[in-house]
Amino acid sequence: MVMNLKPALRHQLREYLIGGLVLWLINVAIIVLCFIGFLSFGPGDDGVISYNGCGIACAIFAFVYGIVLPRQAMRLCAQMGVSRRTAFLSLLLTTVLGSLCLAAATEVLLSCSRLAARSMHTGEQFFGLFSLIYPDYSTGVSLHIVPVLYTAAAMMALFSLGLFFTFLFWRLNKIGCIIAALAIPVILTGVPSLLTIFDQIFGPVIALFLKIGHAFLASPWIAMGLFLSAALVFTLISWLLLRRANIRGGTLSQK
Amino acid sequence: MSIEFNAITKQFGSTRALDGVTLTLEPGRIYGLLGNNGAGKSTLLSILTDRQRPDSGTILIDGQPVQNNDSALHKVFLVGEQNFFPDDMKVKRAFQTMTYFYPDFDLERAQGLAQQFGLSLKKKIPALSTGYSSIFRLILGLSVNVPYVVFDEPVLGLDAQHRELFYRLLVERFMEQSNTFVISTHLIDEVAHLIDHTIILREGKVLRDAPTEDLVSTACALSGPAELVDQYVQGKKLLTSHSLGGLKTVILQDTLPQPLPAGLEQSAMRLQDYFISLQEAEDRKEERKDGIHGYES
Repeated sequence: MVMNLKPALRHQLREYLIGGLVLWLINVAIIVLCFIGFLSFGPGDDGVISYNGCGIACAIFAFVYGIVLPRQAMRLCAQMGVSRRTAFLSLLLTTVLGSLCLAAATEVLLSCSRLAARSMHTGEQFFGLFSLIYPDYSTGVSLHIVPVLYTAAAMMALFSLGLFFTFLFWRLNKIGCIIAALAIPVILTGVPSLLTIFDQIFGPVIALFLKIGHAFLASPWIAMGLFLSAALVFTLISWLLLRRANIRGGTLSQK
Repeated sequence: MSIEFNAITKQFGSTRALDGVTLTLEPGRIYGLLGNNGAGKSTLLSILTDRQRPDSGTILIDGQPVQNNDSALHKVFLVGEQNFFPDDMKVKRAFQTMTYFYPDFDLERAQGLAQQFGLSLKKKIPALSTGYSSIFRLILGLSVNVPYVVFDEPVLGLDAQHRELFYRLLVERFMEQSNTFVISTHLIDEVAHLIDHTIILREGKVLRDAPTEDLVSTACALSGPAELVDQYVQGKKLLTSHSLGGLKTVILQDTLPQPLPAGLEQSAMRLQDYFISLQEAEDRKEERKDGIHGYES
């Protein structure tokens, strides 16, 4: 069966990369301001200025795009005679390619910033998502590859989470939306509390969570595996939600 | 080479939007899809383009099912009532985006039509007024090169001058390319001379599916003194009747033998009058049915 993937991918990747470029330029501006601040006012009381927002910003960007991009993409593809399956596939490919590009660009920016800080002998420290969680991890030859893959995997997981939320709320009616909006924070805060209160009953579950947590912090590869597993699960659920969804357009005119 | 709707059914809660719709759209024709509000026209067109899924039934475009099938879906372009373009997209960018998805999209023609209609290319799509938003969508439909172009309420908010321009351009396009056009509209009088095949939907069912000429030629309007008309129409298939003073006008789903008795006058049937009469006849049928049910209960 012929797939009209190329135009859908082209459009969505363009949208994703434009957003990513804006984010990257903002990060550049922040880092330049850090240098200007250090050179103008000197270091703080502890002698260092650190900026660790690059990786976190990428992750948040992926989550927000996971919420914003799918509806827009599905609508446009529906208008352009592209099936929802192809549109969904193009979304996933956009995430993979876009996340890798943005993660690589962020790593380049961080490396250049660190190099500049060292050569200028300023006390500034720049952390990505990877260096923030694994400060002592030695990556050897693949010094820059692992952080790029790690950030990209985290971005994919968060994008798929956004994807899940956007399709969930697309499928639900008003009452369903209210119930889901209430249920999400209740589950997020209630489940850990319940596990703690009834630790004797849920002992094995708590032990499992702790094991996963330790493994996550012990090895970036396991963490990447967990990120990708989460991405896979949320993506599958999102597809099931989208499969029979009514693709409705926006308002004809806001005037 | 056709679009085949096979027993399409769609239910929204307790409302049955489509009830076993079976239709075939042949190539090289202009179809009129008519029906009152809530008849199921837009739902049918949404299902055709896989924006909605039917509860049962299938749609084949040139023999291929539409669900998750790019090659089938790519043959249909729906100019719908809603905006499916991103909110921050400008008209110019939308035209360019069309060329990604439809390499045959006639960009020059689209830009020319925009100038002809007075549509600014620099405006964002949601910032367009209702009329210009319709014009934007019409230009897409008139510039895309696909075998089937479907217009759902194409002239919404358009002034008379622009409506006329659209109808003229549509006919020109049809003469050039012989694509199949489907026009779903409430402005029946305006499109009556364009459409060569009429499909009338009512409460999710196909009420009529026939060449427009056949529909209007097999019905007629008869007027004259009430007593004479009543006498003459006995045993004939009456759609609707209206009285004014001693004069009565009836619409019959019948051809009348000529010459007519003195005092009676037959007038040509317009598609809109036929449509209204048909709806009124169906309303009466339902009222009678409801009355019987009420009595039985």
